[in-house]
Amino acid sequence: MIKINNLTKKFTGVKGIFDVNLQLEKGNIYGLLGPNASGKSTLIKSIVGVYLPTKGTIEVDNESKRDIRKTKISYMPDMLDFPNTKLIDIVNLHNNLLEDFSKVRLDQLLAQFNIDLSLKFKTLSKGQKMAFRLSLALAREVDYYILDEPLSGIDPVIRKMIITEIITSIDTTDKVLIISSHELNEIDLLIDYAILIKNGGVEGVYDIDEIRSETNLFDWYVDKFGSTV
Amino acid sequence: MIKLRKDKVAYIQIGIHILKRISSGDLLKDEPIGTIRSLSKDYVVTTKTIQKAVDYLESKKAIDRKQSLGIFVSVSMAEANEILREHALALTREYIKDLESIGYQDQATNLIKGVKNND
Repeated sequence: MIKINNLTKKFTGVKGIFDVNLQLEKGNIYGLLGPNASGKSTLIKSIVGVYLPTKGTIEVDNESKRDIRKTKISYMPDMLDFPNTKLIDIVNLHNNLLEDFSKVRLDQLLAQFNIDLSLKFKTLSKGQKMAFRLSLALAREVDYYILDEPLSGIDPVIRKMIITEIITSIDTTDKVLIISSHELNEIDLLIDYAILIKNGGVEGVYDIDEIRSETNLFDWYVDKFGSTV
Repeated sequence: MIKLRKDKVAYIQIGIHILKRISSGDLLKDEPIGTIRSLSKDYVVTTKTIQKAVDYLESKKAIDRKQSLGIFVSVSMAEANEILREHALALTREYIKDLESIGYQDQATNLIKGVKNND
């Protein structure tokens, strides 16, 4: 379980997150939803240990040490570039540095995405770059995965493939997945709960089935945020 | 496998789809329908959604969960048909209620005929 207690992260002159409390339980996939600059990425970066909290604690399996969180969580950042590097070298680096890295799973993922390891990162299309970065994150055998905007800025066919691979490559029965996204029409079958972030705080955590028994995620979201976007 | 509607709860749509597979003879009584994990891959939905679909089918006594062996069909084609019929009746009752709420009493049959003839 990930337990976030009274988490605040302040920046000088920039918005942050304020007094966030959340409990994320194994077996669930959470969608982190909210307008741009609402605090989604700040929350993610605080959970994975990129940012030090101004206040509050983050526990993963009852451990709050930042280093332990980094080893327990596989994190796909929203931006990551590997200039002039061959994919095979990036993969070998991950394989050597991370004990939980599964080369077998990575190869399966890259085969699905039709990505050849002899290529250089900079020669990949935007969608392939995303698929490659996602594959690196999903190839780790851990209990916690946080994917920051895995569907953003890529064409619909690759988005569909990415959703399929997230579902099929890892058994989430006893894992926690957190996925931030604006692609509400596509993420709705991928998540069990929607966490709404608004003005640097958690507006609420909603069961996707309660939303779908009334309407669809897209309309529900626009209703919720219509006046603030 | 099926196109899921976005404005309806996913697990019931999946549960109904499995019932249709049983009632059509595609899945036979005592046959395995897979595991939570394999069904999650088949339908490309979360394992939690499949768990709910399986709970739903279990509540209708249409399947049996056998520890570590998987999930098995526990009804015949005819019994699956009967469960689907009950579901169809429930949908029809909802529909009639909706019609009544806008002042259309006892007109469901005529309305359906009218729509069908126009198509």
